[in-house]
Amino acid sequence: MSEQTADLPVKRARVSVWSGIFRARETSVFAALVVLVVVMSFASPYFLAPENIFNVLRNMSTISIVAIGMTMVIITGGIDLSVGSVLAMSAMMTARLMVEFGFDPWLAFVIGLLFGALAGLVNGLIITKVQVNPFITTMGMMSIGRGLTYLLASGLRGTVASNIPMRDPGLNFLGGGYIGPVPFPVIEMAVLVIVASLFLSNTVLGRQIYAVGSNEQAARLSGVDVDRVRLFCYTLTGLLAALAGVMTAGLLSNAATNAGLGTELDVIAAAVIGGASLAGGQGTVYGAVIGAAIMAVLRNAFVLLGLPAYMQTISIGVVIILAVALDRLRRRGQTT
Amino acid sequence: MAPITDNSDFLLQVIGVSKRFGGVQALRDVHLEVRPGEVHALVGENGAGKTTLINILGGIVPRDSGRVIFRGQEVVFNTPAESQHAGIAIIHQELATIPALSVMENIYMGRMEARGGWINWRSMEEATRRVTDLVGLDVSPRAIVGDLTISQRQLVEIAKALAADARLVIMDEPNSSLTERETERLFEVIARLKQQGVAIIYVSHRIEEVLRIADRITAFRDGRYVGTIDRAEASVAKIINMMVGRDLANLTRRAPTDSAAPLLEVRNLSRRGKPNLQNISFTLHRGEILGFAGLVGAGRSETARAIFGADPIDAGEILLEGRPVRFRSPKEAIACGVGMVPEERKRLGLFMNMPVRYNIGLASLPARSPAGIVQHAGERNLAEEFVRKLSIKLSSIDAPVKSLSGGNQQKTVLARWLATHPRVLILDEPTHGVDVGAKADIYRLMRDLAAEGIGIILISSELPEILNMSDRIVVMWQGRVTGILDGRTATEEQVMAYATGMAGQGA
Amino acid sequence: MKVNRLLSASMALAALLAACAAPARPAVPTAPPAEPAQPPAAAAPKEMCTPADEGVVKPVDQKPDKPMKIAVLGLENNPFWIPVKEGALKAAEELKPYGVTVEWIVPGDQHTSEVFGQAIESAIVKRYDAIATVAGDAGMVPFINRAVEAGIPVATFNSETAEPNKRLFFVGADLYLQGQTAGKAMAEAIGGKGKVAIITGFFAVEAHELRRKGFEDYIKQNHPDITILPPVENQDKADIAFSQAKDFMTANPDLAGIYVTAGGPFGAARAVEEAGMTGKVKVISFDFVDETMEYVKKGVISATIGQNPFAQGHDPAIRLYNYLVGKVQPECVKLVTRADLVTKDNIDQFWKPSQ
Repeated sequence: MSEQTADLPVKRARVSVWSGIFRARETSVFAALVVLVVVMSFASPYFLAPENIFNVLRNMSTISIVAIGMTMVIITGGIDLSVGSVLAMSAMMTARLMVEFGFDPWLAFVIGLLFGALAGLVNGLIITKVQVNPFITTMGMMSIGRGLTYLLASGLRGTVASNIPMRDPGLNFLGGGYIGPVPFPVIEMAVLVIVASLFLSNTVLGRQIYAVGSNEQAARLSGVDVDRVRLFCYTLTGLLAALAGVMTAGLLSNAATNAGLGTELDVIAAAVIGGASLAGGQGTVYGAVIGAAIMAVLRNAFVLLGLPAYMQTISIGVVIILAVALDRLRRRGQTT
Repeated sequence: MAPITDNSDFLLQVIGVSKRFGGVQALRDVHLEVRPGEVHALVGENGAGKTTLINILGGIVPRDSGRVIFRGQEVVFNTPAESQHAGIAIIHQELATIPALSVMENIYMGRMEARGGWINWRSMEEATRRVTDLVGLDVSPRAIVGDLTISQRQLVEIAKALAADARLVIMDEPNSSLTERETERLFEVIARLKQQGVAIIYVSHRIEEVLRIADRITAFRDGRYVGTIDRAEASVAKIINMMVGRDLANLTRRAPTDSAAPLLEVRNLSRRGKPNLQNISFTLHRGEILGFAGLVGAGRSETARAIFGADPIDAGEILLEGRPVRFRSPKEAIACGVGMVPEERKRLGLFMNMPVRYNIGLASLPARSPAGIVQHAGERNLAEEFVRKLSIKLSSIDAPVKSLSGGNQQKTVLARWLATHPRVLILDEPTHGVDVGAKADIYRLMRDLAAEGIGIILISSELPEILNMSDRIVVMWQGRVTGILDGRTATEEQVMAYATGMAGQGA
Repeated sequence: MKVNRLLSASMALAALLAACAAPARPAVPTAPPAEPAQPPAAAAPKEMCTPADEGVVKPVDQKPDKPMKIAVLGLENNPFWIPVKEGALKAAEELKPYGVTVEWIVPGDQHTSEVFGQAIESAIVKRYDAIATVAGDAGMVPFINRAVEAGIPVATFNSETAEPNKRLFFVGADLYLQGQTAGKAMAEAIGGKGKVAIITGFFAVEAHELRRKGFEDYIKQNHPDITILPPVENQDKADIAFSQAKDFMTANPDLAGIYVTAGGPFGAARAVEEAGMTGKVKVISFDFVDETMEYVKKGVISATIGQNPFAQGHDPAIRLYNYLVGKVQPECVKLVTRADLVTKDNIDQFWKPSQ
């Protein structure tokens, strides 16, 4: 067997990327996105302008990047409500180290990322070793992370601040740079999404993530180290949230205490619109990105068309429910 | 229970019903006629369409075409509630009782008698007692169902059917988890239901039972109606022939292999739990099939799990090929060549939404994936190889495993373990809920594996299976090994004596 | 001169809730320019005024018979509060010679009637002689009234409940007037015509809505040639303001101005700068946050409107003391703090880079 496979993995990997894209739920959500884009391109002459498209892509980039981790967590049957706080906390950590202690920006960046990963790891350890429900654990971490953000912002001198400057050409490039006409965050998103999708469908660990969410006991009895898989997913999510945090701060040259407030819900919505099931075992990174894209296009559309902003909030709610409801109906038709 | 007053000869007529799920024609123009007060056995291999028909009758899935006439009227059930309301009760393979509620709450679930919003517990309790007496269930109506045995829970379901005034009770493999004594009791209940004029559709794989209790027998094969025969004209061979369309290969017993060094040796294994495992010792040789007999709760599965590293061990020693091992997780056991097909495949074995090839590949995945990268082509080849070897029937190895029948699902779990090339393979109830054809395939496979030198531990609640397959038989009772018998000479009576603590160390 | 005109035109300011979102941190507390003293107030205090001694009110020179203590209940959840606290501490210093203790108390990290109500209750129990408190939440009314009924005068600052309560006076901004001031600043910046976008913090926060309504009403009444685009909310976040500003500029190539009512105006400024529209798209915002001030300095933000947070912390304690000891009523019950309009031209008066 192994001789036969030796020359094939690349080709196979591609096949499974495409099969991932065209899996039923993703297909219908993708179709919805296409319809939205077509409608918008008729409704507003500016919509298809390359600059606008890049704006939309950049606007969705941080949500998409966090959604990569969130999707994996959701596939294992978990949830991570702390991403918004971890995002703010890690960016604040990076900014503080630079401003307060004069750290090298890149060293501060790496420490910020590790700090986010650490928060994720702690989530994972509490969930796996102490067996506290993920919802509760990460809700607690959400609060702790936000509190630490304020604490970091206030600094060690007890002053109060809600924005800490983060001025470094490199870090600013992470969130606000361009390569040609393409915003750099869009490139980061694309690379991470592709890598994560390949990882999920082509690695043992990726496969085990689905197995844990599909049937935890069976996974354990099949030799999957369930705890390790969970730890990985939460840690990765913390790390990606931290990256998203530094990107957001880099764009505006400031780490804000209110960064990422409510972001966890956008990220979960993206994953769920894209086909992840909160019951576990299902979901793809591409789906989550499509979900994030639908929300970003809607947000863009309301400003371009000058529609009342209240309607935008309503429409996103409708999309979330519709995506899941249509999927239910479709599946009911196939039940055995 | 009011007598049946319909004029029609038949309580239920299923005429030309078809049903398709996606690309699978689950039922093709099937027929079934059930008379009032008769026990009508429905037989067929898994995947033959029995469950689909039951689901149509139960209002769980709609039919595509054909007619169903119940109590003289053409009916269409859109929901389970409509079916129940019409007088059909289904006792499913997987019991539908709610463990956290009491017996009476389960029985009157959805139909609680309430006055002004208050539940009248007293009258509910009396009514419950009437139906539980009828089915011979001797527990308090206030007992919590989660504390009852499987057979008692089943009686709760039957009592629930009676309480709902069911005219037709459909039992889907009702005794698959019952002991012999419990099965006897079930048959008594069936006889009593019959006297009440209630008709029963009895779905089973156990042909001997079908012959014993059925008035008539209908067989399905591959979604088609094969025929209906009276008990008088039925025989084991005939029924198997109807079900399988071929004769079962005879299973011949292989001479036990004696090899000097034991493959696996367990010494004084103990573990606190339910039940407490106490000083369990036995040896397994290369090429041996070691049967584990005992009643449900004797500690057989618990022993297997402890050896496999799924549960921690409090005391004792395990030697694999003479070297002491203690697995802290199944992962370690797998790495050392120990595999386990767990009981309750849906709960512990399968990833229902995942493709068959993922299911087959999972346990051996780390070993087959250099640098942690899945070799998709290798995985497909592996899956296809085992699909062929175990004759697993499926539309595609990419289909989710839930689309397979029970027997093919079980084979999928087996394939997962065979792919790890185990030296020791533990099979916990490998033929539970599996049709005759698949059963024969699994037996044949076990023989082949043993011939290759693999040591097999076979846990089974079916005594004939244990007696037929085992070279030696370990009998357990209340967490202890009460006897180790020679498979060639052991009798059912002997095994039962040890399994009930009447003989051996337990006595 | 310019400052003077603005002072009389505007008046308002402050914003508590709004301020929380859009914190201000003047490096130097702003001292008001000397103005002629107003005529003494009539017997009954006026409803609303901006007193000449805002921020510099002095205690009456009269020692009380016994030591007194005054509680000032505030917040420290963002930099807006730094000068407020400085004001309270200054008041404490000024009153110390009179045997009066002024305590700056932060009951919690958010302004809710639960935590602030409890703080008032415990201040009653501890027999404070007077209480000054933030009161943005309608739930505060019964607590304030309870204190007053217990004989403890209460002043509110920074924010007021919409429902009337029994407080003696209020020191803080008038948000609607702030919005009008912003409208006027915008109209001047864009020459009285063109399209203007509004990015507001939260539709659900009354302070933000008042600033938005004040702006809209002013523009509608005075500048028919200005078109106001439908507002969007940025949840006080700079990154959202950034993408919304970009979207507005994409959809309206002829956009003339962006008005940010609350948090994150520098996100919008960054978008304008990145799009190369500095000077073409004018940004108007609130408060003196470092990030905002940098863009004012660069000329991307045409004007940002402050309030006098120092006075909000300082004046209530002093005026309460004057009331208790000298029986001095403030000249009106709603002491509206000054709205300073900061532009590139006068920024050095209000702000020095902190780093």
